[in-house]
Amino acid sequence: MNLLTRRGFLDQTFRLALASAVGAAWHVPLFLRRALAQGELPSGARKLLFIFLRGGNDGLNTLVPWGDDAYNVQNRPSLYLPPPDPRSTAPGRMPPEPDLTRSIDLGNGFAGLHPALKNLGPLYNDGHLALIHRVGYPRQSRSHFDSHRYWENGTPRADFTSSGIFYRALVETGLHLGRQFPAVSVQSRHPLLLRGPLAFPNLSDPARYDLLGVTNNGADRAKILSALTQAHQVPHPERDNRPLLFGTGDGLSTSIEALRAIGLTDNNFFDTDGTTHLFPIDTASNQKGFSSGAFGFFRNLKVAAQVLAQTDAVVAGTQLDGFDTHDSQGTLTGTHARLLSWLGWGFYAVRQYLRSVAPRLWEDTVLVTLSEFGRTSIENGSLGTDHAEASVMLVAGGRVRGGVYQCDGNSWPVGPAGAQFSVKGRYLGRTVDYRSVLGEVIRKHLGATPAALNRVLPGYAEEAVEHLARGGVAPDGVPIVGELGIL
Amino acid sequence: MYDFTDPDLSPEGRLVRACMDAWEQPGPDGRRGNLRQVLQTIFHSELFRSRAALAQKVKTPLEYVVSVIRAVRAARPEGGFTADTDGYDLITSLRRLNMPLFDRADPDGWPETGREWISTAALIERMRFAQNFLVAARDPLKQRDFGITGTDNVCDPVALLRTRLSAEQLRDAVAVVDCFLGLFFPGEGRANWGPDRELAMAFLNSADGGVPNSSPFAALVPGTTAYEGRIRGLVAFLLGLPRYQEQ
Repeated sequence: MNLLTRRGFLDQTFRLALASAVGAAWHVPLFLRRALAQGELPSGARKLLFIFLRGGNDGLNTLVPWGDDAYNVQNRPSLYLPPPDPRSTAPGRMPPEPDLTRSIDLGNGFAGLHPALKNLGPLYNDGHLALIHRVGYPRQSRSHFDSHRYWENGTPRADFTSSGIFYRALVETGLHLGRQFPAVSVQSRHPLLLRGPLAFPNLSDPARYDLLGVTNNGADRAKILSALTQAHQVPHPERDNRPLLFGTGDGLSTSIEALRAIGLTDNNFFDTDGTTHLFPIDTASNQKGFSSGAFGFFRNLKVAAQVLAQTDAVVAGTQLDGFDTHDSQGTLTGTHARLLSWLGWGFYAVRQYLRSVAPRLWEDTVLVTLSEFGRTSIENGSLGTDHAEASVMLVAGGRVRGGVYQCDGNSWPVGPAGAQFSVKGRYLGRTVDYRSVLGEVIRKHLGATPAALNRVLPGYAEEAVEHLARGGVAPDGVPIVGELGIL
Repeated sequence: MYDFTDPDLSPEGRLVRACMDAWEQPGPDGRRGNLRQVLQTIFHSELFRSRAALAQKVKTPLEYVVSVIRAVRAARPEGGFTADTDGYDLITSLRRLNMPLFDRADPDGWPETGREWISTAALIERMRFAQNFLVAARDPLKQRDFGITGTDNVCDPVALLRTRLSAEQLRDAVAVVDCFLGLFFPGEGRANWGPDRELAMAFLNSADGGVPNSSPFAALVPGTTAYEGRIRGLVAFLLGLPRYQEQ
């Protein structure tokens, strides 16, 4: 009897989906083949940390196109950030002591940073931070729900891709093999980014990654753990899920020990002054004076960074909620500024932390932000902004080629008919596909072969259609630039 | 896709066909589309009832949580039950298990495949649920683990044993282990319990430190905290077994 089990069915479906993607892999562009031949494939030590900015980050007030006269106080009465003063004296650098009542100059004569992001200064000035404007995808969805999915599954407008882009980046490169923690998310729910047919752990509460015991302060915890670990090693009759169940439980005590050894509850990580905690996870560690709403984010970010730095994890990440600023978005202070200040410090803290663990770690790590869409170029009637299209991505790391991308006087059409209104006369239009940014990271940093990359991002190698690698006119008629050379 | 005219139609195909017939067949009210008939067709099918279909699916968190409570819930002779929940406290547990009740972010329904549910973190959280459930209501550990509430998921496995075993058997490790294995794994033959049974016996006969035979079960007196703690630990262990994740 040939029983078609549910798992078997899903297996087949998944393989079929992959097979159709592989079909296109023969059209490997020449430059990818060359990269491959030159041995650009990095070692397995490379790591990726993601932060998903949920709600749709207002890119125009994150990376401010102050050189565009359509970015003005008429269009953004309560949100407008004045142009920088002083201007940077060195190209590609931020001034050492910027005026924090204005956007901060980035030294390209066009773009400024929200002053709440001032802590990005050291990364930017070291050339370790790429600020990429106008990132989106074809037929951009302005629904949170749909756009989360497309950013996470890596296939715009394909609702049924049920695995995540980082999941596939691992599995298709084989980077997950033999690892105790291939990919770990630290947030309330397991994000689609890391979901797929193999379950990677999500730590909704890192403090709970241990057994409990049943009596008296967990006196019998170790006994139960030992018995359960043994119970996952005994011989057993075959069942569909037993390889999975027994295999997962087999490593239980070692993985608990591994995470315990890291000290996920430790927070003795300080800035260079030796007193400022890098991760403000409670009042005692909050020398930065953030509002208490930041503690959860920093707790998760700290654990993600710890797992990334001290286990064999390749991918780790978390999210920051609250970017859906329909009303009272705020300018120098307020909701948006608050979130950006956490993000800016978070990037700074991760770099300091990784370097303190091992100087090489920062060289081997890429930090990336994702957000489902940007926000309307013109402020709404509630002192906020509404869902729009293209927005900003931040990519940082020791090997990242820092700078401002797609927000400069040469590429940015200014004025009332310019970039800010290029879609439906309301929205900032895209010039970069998010898949090109992530694709470059997955290719160069995680070492995906062209064929593997094409399974991670279907159509990537099929240059004539999507133009994700080298740029061109996308199927919807919008010119895009392709990979930016950020790595 | 099935070709229903194919004489070698697969068992699944035959069942789909039978379900279609059941759907078309007018129900007691004379109308087509009687779901009870369709479900009955499935439940009585060879495919559903065959041993090969047993334990082939991993429980979802909701199924696991509910099955844990049901496994130790029996009517007490004096009234009430040996396990109980107010329901609300399960909401926290389900959130921790990544399955917030009635609150899935995507409209496509919760996954039914094991691989989407089972990771080390998920397994640990399942085991913790069983352990918290087995912690006595009076023990501060229960509340500390759960947060503010959490004293409403309670059970008394010794009371359950008392409904099934004689006073003499209560002190017999073999009788106790077999009683629970029979309750929790009714579909498994005795022969398949072997290794788990041995582990359970070793568990019962060791003190909290886990040293084998450090504290013979026969020396523990029913009604004492030590006896109760040993039993609670055993049940938490059994409900954390890999095969208890299956249905």
